[in-house]
Amino acid sequence: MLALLQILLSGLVTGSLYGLLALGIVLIYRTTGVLNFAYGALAATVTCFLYVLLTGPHLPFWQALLLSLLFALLLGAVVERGFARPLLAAPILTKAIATLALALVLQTVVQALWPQLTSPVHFPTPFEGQALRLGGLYLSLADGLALLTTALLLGLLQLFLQRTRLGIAMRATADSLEAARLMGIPVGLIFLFAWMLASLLAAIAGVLIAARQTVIDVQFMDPVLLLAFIGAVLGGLDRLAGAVVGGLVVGLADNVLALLLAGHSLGTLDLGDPGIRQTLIFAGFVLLLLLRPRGLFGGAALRRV
Amino acid sequence: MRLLRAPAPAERRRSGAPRLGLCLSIVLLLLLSACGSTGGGSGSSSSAPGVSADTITIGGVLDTTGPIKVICSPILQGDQLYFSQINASGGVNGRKIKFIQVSDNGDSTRTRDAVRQLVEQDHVFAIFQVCGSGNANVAESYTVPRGIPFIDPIGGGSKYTDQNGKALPWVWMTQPNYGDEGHVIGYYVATTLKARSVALLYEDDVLGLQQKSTLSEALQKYGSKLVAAVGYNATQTDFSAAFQTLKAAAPDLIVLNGLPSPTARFVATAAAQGYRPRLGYLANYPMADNSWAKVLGATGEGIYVSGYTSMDTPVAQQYLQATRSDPVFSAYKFYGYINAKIMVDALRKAGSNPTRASLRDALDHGFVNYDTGFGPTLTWTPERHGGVSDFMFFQIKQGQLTPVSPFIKASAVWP
Repeated sequence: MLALLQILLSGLVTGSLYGLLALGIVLIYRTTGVLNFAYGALAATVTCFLYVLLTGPHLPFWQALLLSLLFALLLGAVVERGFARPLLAAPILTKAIATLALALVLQTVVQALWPQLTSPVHFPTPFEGQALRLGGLYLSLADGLALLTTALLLGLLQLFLQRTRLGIAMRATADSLEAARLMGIPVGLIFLFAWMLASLLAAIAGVLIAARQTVIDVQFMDPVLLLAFIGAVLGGLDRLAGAVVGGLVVGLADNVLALLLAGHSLGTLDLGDPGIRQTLIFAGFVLLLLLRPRGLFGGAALRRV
Repeated sequence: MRLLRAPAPAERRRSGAPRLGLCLSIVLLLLLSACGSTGGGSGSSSSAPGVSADTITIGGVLDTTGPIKVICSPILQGDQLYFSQINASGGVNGRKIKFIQVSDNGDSTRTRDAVRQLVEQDHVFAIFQVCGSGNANVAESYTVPRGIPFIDPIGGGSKYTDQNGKALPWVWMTQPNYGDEGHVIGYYVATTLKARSVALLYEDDVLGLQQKSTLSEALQKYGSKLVAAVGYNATQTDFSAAFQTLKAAAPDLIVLNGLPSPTARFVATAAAQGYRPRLGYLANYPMADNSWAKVLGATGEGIYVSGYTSMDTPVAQQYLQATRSDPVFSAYKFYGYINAKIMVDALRKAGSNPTRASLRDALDHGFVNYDTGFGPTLTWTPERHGGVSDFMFFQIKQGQLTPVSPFIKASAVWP
C-alpha cells in the first residue's frame, strides 16, 4: 500500500512536470498557432546554459538560475523575432515542421558551444539528496519544488490571463487575430510576449526535470517532450488547466502501470516490459481521442484566420 | 513527427529558397559520392579490396551522433590514437592504416546501409567494430554471407555463433558476453559480497534478458537468490516505479545492467528517496568508466562495477603516456586503443600481401593465448570466435574506479 502511495506521489510529480511543459506548449499554440516541437530543445538549451554557469565560472546556484531565466526570456524573444514572426502567415503544418528544424538548430548550437554536454553529465543542485519524510513517504526537495512550482505557475498564469490587460489582450489575440488588430491590440508585441513567457516556462520545467534526474545532456528533454505533448493534447490544447491535468494523467498512468504490471505476464508476454507499458499508454491515448477528439477538456473547434 | 504530410504543391511553389537548397544538396551529394568512389579504389595494387600498395582501408560503424555516442565516440578516439601511432611508425608491413568511420546514429535500422556504404562505396578490406550489440548483429547479416572479415562487434550480446553454437566463420569477438558476465557477477556478489538476496535493473532487450538468466543461475548455485527484476528502455526517464518494485523485494544488493544514463537516473531516484540497498549496487561492464562515476556524483561512492581491463600492463601504460593530457581516463577510449592493437596484430599476421582469406587464417590460427595487453588472454580458433571471459571488479572510491578483485574466469565459476 505504501509503495502504491509512493508511486502515486511520484506520478503526481512526473505528471506535474509534463503538465508544466504542456502549459507552455498550449500557451504558444493558443496565442500564435504554432505547434512547437522545439519546446523541449528550448528547455534543454536553457538548462545546459545553467549547467555551464554552475560548472564553468562556478556561480552560486540561485544567481546562475536567475541569469538562466533571463537568458530564457531573451531566447524566447530571439526565436520569436528570428523564427516565428517570419512564419506567421504560414500554414500550421509548415510552422510545426519548421519547429522541428528549430529544435535541431538549437541542439547543434548547444553541442558546438558546449561539447561536454553531448555526453551525460551530472547536474548539480542545492536540493540533491534532500528529502521530506511524510509518514512512510519520501518526497525529495526537487520533487516538492516541482509540485509547488507547477501549482503556483498555473495559478499565476490563470490570474494573469483573466485579470491583467496584457493577459486579456493575449486571450483576445488567441480568439481572433483580425479582431484583436481592429481593436488596436499590438499583436506583434503579444506574440513576442507569448514566446518569452513560454520560453520561461520551458526553462523552469527543464531545470526542475534536470534537478530530478540529476543527469543531463543536450537531448535530455526529447523523451519527456513526447509525453508532455500527449498531456497537452489530452487536455484539449486550448485550456491551460486542461494541459496540466492532461500531464498529470500521463504521469500517473505511466507510474501506476509500471508498478502494477511489474512481474506479471500474459502467456509469454512480459507485461512488465516498458515497451508494453508505453504501448498501453499510447493505445489508451488513441482510444480517448477516438471518443473525445478534442481531448478531455477541449472546447469547440478553433478557427484560425 | 514522421507522420506529418509533405508540403502541398502550393506551399512548395512559394518556397524558392528551399528549392535552391535542395539543388545544392543534390550537387553536394553527387560530389561527395564521387569523392568516395575515387578514394576507395585509388592505387589498389592488390587483388583484395581495400588493399593498395601503401594503404589498407578498414571501416567501422560507430555512433557519434545518437544515443550510444557516449560509449562509441571515445572508442573511436582510442582507435584513431592507436592507428595514428602505427602509421607514424611506418604502418603495417609498409602500408598505412586508413580507418573510415560512419555513424548509424545508434539506430540498428541504419546499420546495414552504413556497412553497405563501407563495403560497396569505400571498398574496405574488413569491418573493424560496429558499436552496439543489435547493430553488430545487423552488420553480421551483411558481412558473413559475403565473406567479409568482421572484427570486434561491440556489445556483450553480439552474435558470434550460429543457432547450433558453431562459430560464425567471419566474425571475431573480443569483448566478453553478458551471459558470462552474469555468471561471474552472480558468483562475486554471492561469495565475496555475501549478498543473500539480489535485485536486478536490466535493459529490456535480448542482452539484458540473457544477463538476467545467467545471473539468476549463478546466484542460485552459490546460495543466493534473484528476488526481483525490472526492465527499462533506453529512453526511459522516470524510474520511480522501477525503484519501488525493486525496493519492495528488500534486496541486499541491486545489480545495474545496460546503459550509463538510465542506470545513473535509477540510482539518483533511489537516493532522492533516501534509499540504498544494504550492500549498495553493482553495475555491469558498460559502466566501467570514470565518466559514469562522475555522472553519479556523491551517490556513486562505494558502487561496485564489473570490468575486464586492467591498467597494470605495458600496453595500458603506453596508453596512459599517450593520453596524459586527457582531463580524465576514459575506459571506452582505452577499449578502442587496445582493440585497434588487436586489429593491427591481425593485419600483421595476415602477411605482406593480405587477402581476406589470409586475414581469416591469421585470426583463426594466430591468436592462441594471445596477450591482449589489457589483462586477460584471448584465444580464437576456427571453432571458437568468442571474446575474453575474465572479469574483475572495481569500486568507486572518491569518484574513481578502484580495482578490488583479481580477474575471475567465467569458466571457473560456471564450467
